[in-house]
Amino acid sequence: MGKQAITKIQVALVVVLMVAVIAASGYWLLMMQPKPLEEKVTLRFVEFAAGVTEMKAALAEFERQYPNLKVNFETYGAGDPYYSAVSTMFVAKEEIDIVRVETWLGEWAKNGWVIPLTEDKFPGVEKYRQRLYPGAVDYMSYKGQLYGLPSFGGTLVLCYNEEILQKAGVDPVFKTWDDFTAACLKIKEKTDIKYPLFGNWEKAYYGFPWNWYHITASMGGRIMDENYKCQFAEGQPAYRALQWMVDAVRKHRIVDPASIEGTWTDVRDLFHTRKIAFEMMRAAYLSVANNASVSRIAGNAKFTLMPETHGQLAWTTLYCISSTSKHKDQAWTLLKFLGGEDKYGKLFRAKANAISTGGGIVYPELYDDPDVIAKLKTFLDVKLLRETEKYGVSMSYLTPCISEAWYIAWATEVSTQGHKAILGEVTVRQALDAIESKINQLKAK
Amino acid sequence: MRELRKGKLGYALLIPAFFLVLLAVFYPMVYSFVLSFCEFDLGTDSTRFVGLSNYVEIISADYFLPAIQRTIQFAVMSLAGTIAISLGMALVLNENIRGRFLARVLLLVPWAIPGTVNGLMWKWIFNANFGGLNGILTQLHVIPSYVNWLSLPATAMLAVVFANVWKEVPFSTLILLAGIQSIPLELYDAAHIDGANTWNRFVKITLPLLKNSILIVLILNTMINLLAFDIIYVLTGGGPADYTAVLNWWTYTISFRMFNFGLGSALAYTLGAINLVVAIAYFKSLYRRIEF
Repeated sequence: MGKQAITKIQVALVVVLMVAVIAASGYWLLMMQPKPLEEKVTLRFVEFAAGVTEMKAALAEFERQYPNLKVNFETYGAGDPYYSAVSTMFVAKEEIDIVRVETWLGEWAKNGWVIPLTEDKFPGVEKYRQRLYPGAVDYMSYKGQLYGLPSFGGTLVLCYNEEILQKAGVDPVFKTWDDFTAACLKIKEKTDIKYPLFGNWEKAYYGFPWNWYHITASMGGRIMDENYKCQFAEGQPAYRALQWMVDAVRKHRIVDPASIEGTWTDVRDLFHTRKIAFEMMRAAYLSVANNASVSRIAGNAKFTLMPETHGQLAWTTLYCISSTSKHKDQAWTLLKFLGGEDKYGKLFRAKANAISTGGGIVYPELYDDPDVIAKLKTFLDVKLLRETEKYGVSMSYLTPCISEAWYIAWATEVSTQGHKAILGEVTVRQALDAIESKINQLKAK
Repeated sequence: MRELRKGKLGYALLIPAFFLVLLAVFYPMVYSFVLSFCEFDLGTDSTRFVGLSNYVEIISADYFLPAIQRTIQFAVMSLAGTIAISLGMALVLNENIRGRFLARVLLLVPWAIPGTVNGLMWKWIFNANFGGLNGILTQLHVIPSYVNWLSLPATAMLAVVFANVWKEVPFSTLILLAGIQSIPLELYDAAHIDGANTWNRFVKITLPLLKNSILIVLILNTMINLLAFDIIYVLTGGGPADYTAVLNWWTYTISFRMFNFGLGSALAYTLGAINLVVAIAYFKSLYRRIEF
């Protein structure tokens, strides 16, 4: 090797040495920096892809209130896509902090994926239990233990178009389901409305099944008891409810047969464009129905009590702390912000939900909040809304099997048999027998 | 020696791709096949070997035979529609017509649209209250009032078949067009001289020489149609009731709604076996070596 080659090697060695010294110095300097008193913790929050803009704004406020906490906000499509994605995350033991839970609380609690909130580990949780509606607490509990704080509460109410009912000379007070049927027939006769009611009776678990539960609740019954014994004898509310749904389509022709493919969006579109007179929806959606910029029936969208016992399907969407969270104390802080009090003791999100959508009030004290009342008054009857709160019938009371892992399999069969009955392929008796047989089969497994 | 070294280099360069295929294809296949003989509890993340009981459960399930029937119905109807339309289009596109190039480009648009987007588009077109199809047909007085295309068992199946055929026709047309263009023109000239008319030329020359291309289209479309899922999931969700619930829809429902991955895997392999048998049957009965 020549002199030139040796010199090149020497230069290279010196450069490498210099880089190593600089790197080591930098590292040492970094390690010598005093650590902040509290390290910034990043929380992973997984939610439905709905109301994303509002949620992002809320999380920005959270991060402002708690500078040491940062939130990684992830969303998945509402319903099945979210449920499948998050279940997969739990199986893969991914670290998650806060998740949204709907009808699957029992399954996730049983699997140990979400954790109960106890006063010793999460101070202050008991005061929330006292402040919330008892029905909401019941829905958010599994085996007597509270598992989360509410996102919002939902009840289905009977919305109607006042202008159409006035034109038909129909009074929006229905003592019995026969009264409601007669009212629909009168609307068909006196107006240009072909089908006064359209339902989101689609095959999804929140489609046909929820509507059947809702009508059953109104008729004063439930689908099954705590031992999952179905209440399907002729004359019982669940039987009558399915019979009413079938007759409404096939005999009286007051419900559009296309309801069996109908989604929530279809119902809202038809109601807002004056194609139907009634819808069974959350009262919150009246804020959109009475908004002149998006609805043709603004000012005419009202709601009334359901017939008979006025019972209506009620559920609470909640947020829970994941068992895989490595920062459970910080997760509790975020959970309180999302479903309870913020740093200043205000029901920040609950109030924001009530104001932005006018619905899902799970803290009765919000009815005394002047901002909330002022907003609600712009699109619905607040006094009536408050009255309907006492008629909410929890989904977990109507179908206790909702906590089982096989609930979705059973709900799929409910939709299948319900559709077959509406199409006239089977009788109501045959449909209910098949639904009962399915639950016995799943229980045995 | 140089040849040997070249060979070794070639194999060495293939190794990364081989590992990728192993990871992305073989490993999932083997894992899911093993899973089909197990009971997999998602909640406790535990797996228990159960032998053939998943397969027995599938065959004895009340949804299995109706699902097979619907799958065959969907596949046969889609296949008939696809072959008929794509053969017609291939014959037209083979002619020297004005705008042929543009037509061939536009032909590919349905094929390029993702399956779920296709389904959503047709869901709006078939919508019972706002759909474009109802609008056009009532304006033309073909139907007196709007039809619930997706709510009635007969029309729901037709609707999914129609949407599926619309998507599958372009690719089949291209295959058949390539086959037609490989037929020597001299055969048609000779037939013309012998007094054969258009129909005779089509039946005696085009069809027999197109057999292998038709076989390719048959096998590909049968496999695609037997495995159809996305169009059904988006358009009807398996409904109304379960009138469009084909086998692959059940595979998805069992695996990802009920989280029974063992049973879902078993159903997937059952469907795969059916597909394989059909492909072999096609091949044995239709394949002939073509000599011009």
